[in-house]
Amino acid sequence: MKTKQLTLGIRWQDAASFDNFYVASENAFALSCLQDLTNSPSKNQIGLFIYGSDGSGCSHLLQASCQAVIDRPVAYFPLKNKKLHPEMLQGVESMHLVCIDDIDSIAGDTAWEEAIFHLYNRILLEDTRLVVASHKPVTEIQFTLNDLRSRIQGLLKVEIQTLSDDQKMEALNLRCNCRGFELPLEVARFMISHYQRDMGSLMDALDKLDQETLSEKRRLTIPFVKEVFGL
Amino acid sequence: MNTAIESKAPKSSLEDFPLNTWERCREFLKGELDVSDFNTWINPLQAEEEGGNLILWAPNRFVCDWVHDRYMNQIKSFVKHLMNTDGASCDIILRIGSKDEAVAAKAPKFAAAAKQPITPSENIRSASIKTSNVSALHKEEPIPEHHSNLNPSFTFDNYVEGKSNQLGRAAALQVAENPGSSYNPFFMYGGAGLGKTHLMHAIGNKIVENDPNAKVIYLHSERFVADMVKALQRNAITEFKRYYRSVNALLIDDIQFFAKKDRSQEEFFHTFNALLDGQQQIIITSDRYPKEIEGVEERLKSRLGWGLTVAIDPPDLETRVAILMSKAEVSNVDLPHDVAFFIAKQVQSNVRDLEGALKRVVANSHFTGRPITAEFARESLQDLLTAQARMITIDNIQKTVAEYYKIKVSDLLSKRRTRVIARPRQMAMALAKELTNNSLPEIGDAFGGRDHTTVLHACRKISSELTKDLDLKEDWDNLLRILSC
Repeated sequence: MKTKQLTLGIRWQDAASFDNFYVASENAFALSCLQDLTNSPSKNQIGLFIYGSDGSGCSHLLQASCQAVIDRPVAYFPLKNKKLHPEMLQGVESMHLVCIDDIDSIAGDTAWEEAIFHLYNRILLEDTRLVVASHKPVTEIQFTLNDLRSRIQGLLKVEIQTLSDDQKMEALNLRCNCRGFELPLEVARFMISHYQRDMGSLMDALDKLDQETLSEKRRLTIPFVKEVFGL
Repeated sequence: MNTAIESKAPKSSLEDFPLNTWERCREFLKGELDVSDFNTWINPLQAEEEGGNLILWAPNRFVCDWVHDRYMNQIKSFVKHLMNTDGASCDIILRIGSKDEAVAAKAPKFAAAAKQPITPSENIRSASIKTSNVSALHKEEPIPEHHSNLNPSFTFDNYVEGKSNQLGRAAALQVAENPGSSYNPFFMYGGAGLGKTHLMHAIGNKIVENDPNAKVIYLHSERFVADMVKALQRNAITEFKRYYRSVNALLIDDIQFFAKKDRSQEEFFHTFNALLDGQQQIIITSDRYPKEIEGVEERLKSRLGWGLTVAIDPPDLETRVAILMSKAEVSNVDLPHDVAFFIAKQVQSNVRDLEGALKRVVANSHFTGRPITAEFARESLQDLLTAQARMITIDNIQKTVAEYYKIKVSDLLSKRRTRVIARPRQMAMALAKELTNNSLPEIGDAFGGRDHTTVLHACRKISSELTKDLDLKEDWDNLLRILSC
């Protein structure tokens, strides 16, 4: 019987960074705006609003922004996480950078909307930068608090474009290179055409394949991918 | 809650101890936790050394409790492990607040960041501080140094005047020149992003310019509430009252957020009366007329209207163009007039939206190195224009018009011809013709299968009435603004 190699009990974390984010030419502007905001010594604008569909990389970019700030406190609020509470925005205006992810998921929740609105007002008085991300443009978010809507509207707004299939293959390849293994072109193409095509699912699939190739000591081939995913 | 770690061992002579320990601990947690959890709970903690111990500042109680309950054991064991390796020792104390003294200093003493550890013993210590504060107050301690919070970039010089705000600006200037005597209280109301806050800061800045010793305090109503709550918690309400009653001008933004906060309203009511009696200026903004603010006591509403109340309306096209030109000038951007006109025509809702659109065009131009032209502005704002177009459908227009006139969408589609229904229906048809690419027959179909000549009649009727009926013109402008926001 073939023995499985045990993988280490440490979860591999692809620490989200600007370097391991695949930058399609359409998204170079967004990346430049984010880097300007997080790196600039003086605050020339209060913040940035980025939006894009599921898997477009908004969350990655927000976390990369947090990683890019050195020696200064930052805070990241993924509002889809229902365990979070509006009270946790109190006092975070003392951070260097505040990132609010999935703001569209709290639209209509008065307590959250007011907490973010008040945070915005406090941030105005500090040297704090704000990055807000959403799956929808501001105009399509059903905020009940117009004061919040207008403040978000006043931020520099940039869309993160969804990648084409060729770009997705390049993004997968970049992620594999960062992890130190090769993704054969035919395997990448097979994944794109036979698996869910949003980047989130594709990256999860890559995680699984990484684990499986390591434990099964197999090369990454199309038959192996079929076996792992039962395709 | 007790988060102190009592792990005693010989102190080490390591450089930067124990901050160095915290850095290593952070690296350890980075590998242990999900990236998102690390950024949410660990990254906001600020470390500070105090007497050889490690103080971790959490921005609020929620984060503090969460870190204590979920991560403190991990932190504790890792630090213990390091101490065994390095032969060092330290206590770890979680506190709520910020190590940045500058932030704490901006709040008056009674509301400054709580610099107390959250251990029972320390709570006792902070309680003894409270007692001493109270006794000190009886001895008439000097009033805490005030912090105006005024934004110097908001002045009368860079406030663009138009028909929509000329009364407000003139009155504001009058108040700034004669604080406490001309219009008191001065109440400004209007929708979000129309420049109320700008005008408020401009008044404050002008008062200080005329009298550098004047005590002017600008604050958002939420901050007034928060300061009051902290003062109550610290048994320092007397100091709170003296602080806010000692000013020459008190500027409170967005007073509608006082709604249903009875204790704050009560306190503000008394502060208001004291300031008015002392001929100290009060300036207030809200999103609506005083009488229409819900959840605010009648006696307070009535007092808010005692002085001068002015409305700040959405800017017209010419004013929007002037605002854009002014903002571009401040940013040293050469904005061609036709581009300003293009943006102003597309963005009708409020000044913040205009600012957002301008920022986008300017940032794009810096990034690509291309000059700003009308075509370039169109390309840069493509996503905004597409999103707007998606919003403007006949269905959405019907829904918005029905809500605006407080009737049902089914009324708009019905055969009823009473004036309360017919006029909104004509308005909705004319808006559909103005804002969508649908043909007249398509619009007629969408309004209960009416003929295209009915739509044509509605459009002509509204067009001719707009020049004669000012109320109708106001409704038209409001609806256009709502639909393009």
